[in-house]
Amino acid sequence: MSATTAFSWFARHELRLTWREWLAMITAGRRRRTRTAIIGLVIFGAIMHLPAWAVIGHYAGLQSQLDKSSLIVVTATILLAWALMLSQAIESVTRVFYARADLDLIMSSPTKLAQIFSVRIASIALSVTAMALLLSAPFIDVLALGGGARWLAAFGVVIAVGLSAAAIAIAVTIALFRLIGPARTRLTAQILAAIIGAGFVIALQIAAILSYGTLSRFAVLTSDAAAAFAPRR
Amino acid sequence: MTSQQSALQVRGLTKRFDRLAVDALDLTVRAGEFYALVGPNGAGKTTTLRMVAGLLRPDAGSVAIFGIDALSEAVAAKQVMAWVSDEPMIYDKLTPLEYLEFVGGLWGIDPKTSQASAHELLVSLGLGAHLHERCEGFSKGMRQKVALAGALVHDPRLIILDEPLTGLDAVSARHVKGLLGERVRAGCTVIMTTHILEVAERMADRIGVIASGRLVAEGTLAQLRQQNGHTDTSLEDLFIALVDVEAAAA
Repeated sequence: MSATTAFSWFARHELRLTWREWLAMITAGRRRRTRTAIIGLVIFGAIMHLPAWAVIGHYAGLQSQLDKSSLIVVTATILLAWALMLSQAIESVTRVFYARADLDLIMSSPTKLAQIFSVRIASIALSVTAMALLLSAPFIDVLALGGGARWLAAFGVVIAVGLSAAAIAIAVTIALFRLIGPARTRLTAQILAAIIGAGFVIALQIAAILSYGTLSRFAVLTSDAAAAFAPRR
Repeated sequence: MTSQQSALQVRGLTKRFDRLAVDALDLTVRAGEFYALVGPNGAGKTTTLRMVAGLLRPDAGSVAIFGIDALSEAVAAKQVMAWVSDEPMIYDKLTPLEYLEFVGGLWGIDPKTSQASAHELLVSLGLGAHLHERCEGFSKGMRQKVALAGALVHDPRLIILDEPLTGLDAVSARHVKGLLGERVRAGCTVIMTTHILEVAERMADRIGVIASGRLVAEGTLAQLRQQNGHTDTSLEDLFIALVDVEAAAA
């Protein structure tokens, strides 16, 4: 097998495994339910446009000349999405590298490990980004329907956020692997994923309660203090 | 004996974790031989074989597979051998045929080429009726057999197995032993760790007894008996005597 053939062959293997694992997750392992589950997902995606419209529909007319507070809120929302994706990506990295437990098999083979791991890392980045695209699609669709095709650029933002989160997740896992060894990396990475996922929201909530005596996370983001930290336009 | 004539030649192999796991081990396995490595729990059997298979880096020593330096030419050495661990991994979401096709691919075998031998191997191991079922519902014995078939699909010259018969029922064990015996008769070298001394006694050409990371005895069953001054004792009695001596010395 040439290097290119081997690369595409392993990529197909990874995609097949990821697809089957994902299907098993949404069908609770019952293969006969696959068609029903996919139809259910499509219907769910369509229905999700309604709450998306209610939540974000009135922002569809926003133009690029936003005030500082709105820009901070938008930036924080993207940062929150990024933190959640990073959390999911770290979980994916540990699941793919540890739960499949196929490293012995792969490492005992003469195949080039760099090639195998590149494909695997790309597959993680793709699956994290695909999941983010699926979840964000109703919101972006609503904005595009109400405010024009310019909002479709948000798909590009989601892809960039997904890929960068996957890259950081892999870097974090490799750093943990080198610092504390393979045995402790899995648990530490999973704890880190949980902390990162919830940490951003909790930090905002705590800051809001302590500084402004309110439960609203937006209180911090729209405050003068946050505006003072933001760069000048 | 030169390393060219040996399937495996290990010299001064050393590995330390919290304690010394393998202690300057020397081991030679001839080409075409069925070699059983026996020893008490924690003796260093698995660590030794994992270093041979390229899964662990030794702290010191050398490993040669058919004369190929397995530490500096790892890819070439791995090309001719196969490793099956005591808890083999197979993908739950693949069928046995798909799994063997994947393993063949890791050894650079074209899927069309590996399909025929995969089919034949799985049938010979009694899995003919399950070729197209996903492995997720398989018993431990069935999974062990799929993993073994995977190890054989690229036709290795050296097969290393860590406790391959643990947890297998009598019929499955018979299938596995039969297949390994066939491979040895065809010129393949098999190195196997086992706790089942009866299997080592019956199947192995030579037996190595390892304790505290060192090879404390080695030879055919007759040679082991002779070395220990017992002419008609079982391997189990010999093993216990050897391990007791080693434990007392330690």
